[in-house]
Amino acid sequence: MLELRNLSKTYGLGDDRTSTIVALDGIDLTVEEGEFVSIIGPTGCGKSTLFEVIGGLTDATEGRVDIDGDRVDGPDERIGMVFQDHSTFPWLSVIENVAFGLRMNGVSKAERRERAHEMIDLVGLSGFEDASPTELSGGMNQRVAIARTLVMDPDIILMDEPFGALDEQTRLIIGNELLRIWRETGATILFVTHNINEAVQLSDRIAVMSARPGRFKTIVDNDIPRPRDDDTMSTEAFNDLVQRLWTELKSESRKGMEQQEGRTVTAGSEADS
Amino acid sequence: MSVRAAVVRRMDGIDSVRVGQFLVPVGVLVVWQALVGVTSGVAFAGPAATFSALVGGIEAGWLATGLRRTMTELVVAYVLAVVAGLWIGVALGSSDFWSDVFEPILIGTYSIPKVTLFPMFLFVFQLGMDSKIAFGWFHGVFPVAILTMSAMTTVSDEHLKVARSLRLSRWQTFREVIVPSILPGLVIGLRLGFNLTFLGIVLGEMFAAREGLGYTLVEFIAGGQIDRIMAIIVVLVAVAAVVNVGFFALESRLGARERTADIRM
Repeated sequence: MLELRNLSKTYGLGDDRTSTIVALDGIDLTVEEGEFVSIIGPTGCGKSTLFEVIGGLTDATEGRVDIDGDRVDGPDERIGMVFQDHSTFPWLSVIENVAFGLRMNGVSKAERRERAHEMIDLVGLSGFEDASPTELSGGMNQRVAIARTLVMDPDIILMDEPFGALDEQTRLIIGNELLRIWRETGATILFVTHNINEAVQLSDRIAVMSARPGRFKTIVDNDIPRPRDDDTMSTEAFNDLVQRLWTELKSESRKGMEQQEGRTVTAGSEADS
Repeated sequence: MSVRAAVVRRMDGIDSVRVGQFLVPVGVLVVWQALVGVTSGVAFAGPAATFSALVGGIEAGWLATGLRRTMTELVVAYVLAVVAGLWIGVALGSSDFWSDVFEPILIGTYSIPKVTLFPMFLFVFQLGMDSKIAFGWFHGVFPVAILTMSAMTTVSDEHLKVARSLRLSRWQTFREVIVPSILPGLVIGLRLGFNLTFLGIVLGEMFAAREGLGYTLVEFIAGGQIDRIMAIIVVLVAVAAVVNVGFFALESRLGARERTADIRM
């Protein structure tokens, strides 16, 4: 069980650190074992900051992250992270990429090979063991990245827009693959995305983040029955949920865009909206 | 290389670049012999005379003695220059702030004629091997540091995050992520560093030494033994050529020159 308790993150700006940006403001979330939870939010809402805070790459200013009641302090072996894009090592082959973490942790060569092969099979890359990531498509590279994380056998898998750089068709296919992997491994997944369809396709629950300062505006249960296939995506229930999430997200996205464009949202204009 | 260029190069089944690479040394020999004629053998010894001086030097042993000394100094200075240059480059290149602060300073120091500083090296390290090693090191450390530092900008943040999330130690991150990332730029730095270290060593030996090929060269200048001077030059050129050909092969295998074409050095 992953618990986020009142997570906040404030960045200092400028040389004197007098002005600050509140990236995260009191994030609370409990993810049960084996659950698939997505976090959606507008650009610049602090999704990636949250991802890095949970993964222990960035310290929270306030609050804590617990796994089964045990505090996460820095990068943790119980957490596996899958990054956005271009995270495979181009100087290593596919199997070397997958076995990388095992090798760094002193796992024997025979065991590394066995476990890496197993994961390569699981993500559907059999036959590409000795290929270079530079020869593979973006989708296949993300499979390598997923296998590299899975092979470490983490309790919780964090994914930060892992399919963000893929075209829609590839994204759908690899999304289905991820669901299969999730079923087969029983992993707990916390999935960050800006894609509403993707969140509805994959998750048990969807947390909607507000524009900066990032907090959870609402957390929606996704009752659409599994297994969800391509036909599911044309059902009314699916579209209703997408619509509902989009309504939640729309005003936040507008605020996010204004922040991106550098327009200051003053207290007055916030009151108007 | 474009397809058209490849076709032009390989017309009639002959690789014109290979032919050119063969013809240039032949041309050098021809010009060499011509210069001997023009200067009536005072400034240049001919290929044949040089060759027999070379053989004579090997038989008499002075060539091997000098070469051994020079190579010892070169290897020690180069290894120290690489270790220090890598360390400086990675340390400064890890931070935008420090690389911005130090880049102009490093490049500025690199571009001064370092030979003017040789007296200081001589006073501090005396006449023996140490002053030559220090002087060679001082030549070689800059290109290694500068190219390592600029190659550090090619290390991907994502890769560093992967390293952190897999809880790699600092040393593991350096060896397994940073070094492979910077390798293309690094090999150029290693080659330039070698060439400059070599220059520094020979210069040092020519100015103030009692051994080494640079010293022997100056001795022969005093004696006007032009054929032996040429023999030494041939040996030095051979050492530089072998090492550089090795580096060039490594660079093209890594695609280094294409990727770091914007580094003007």
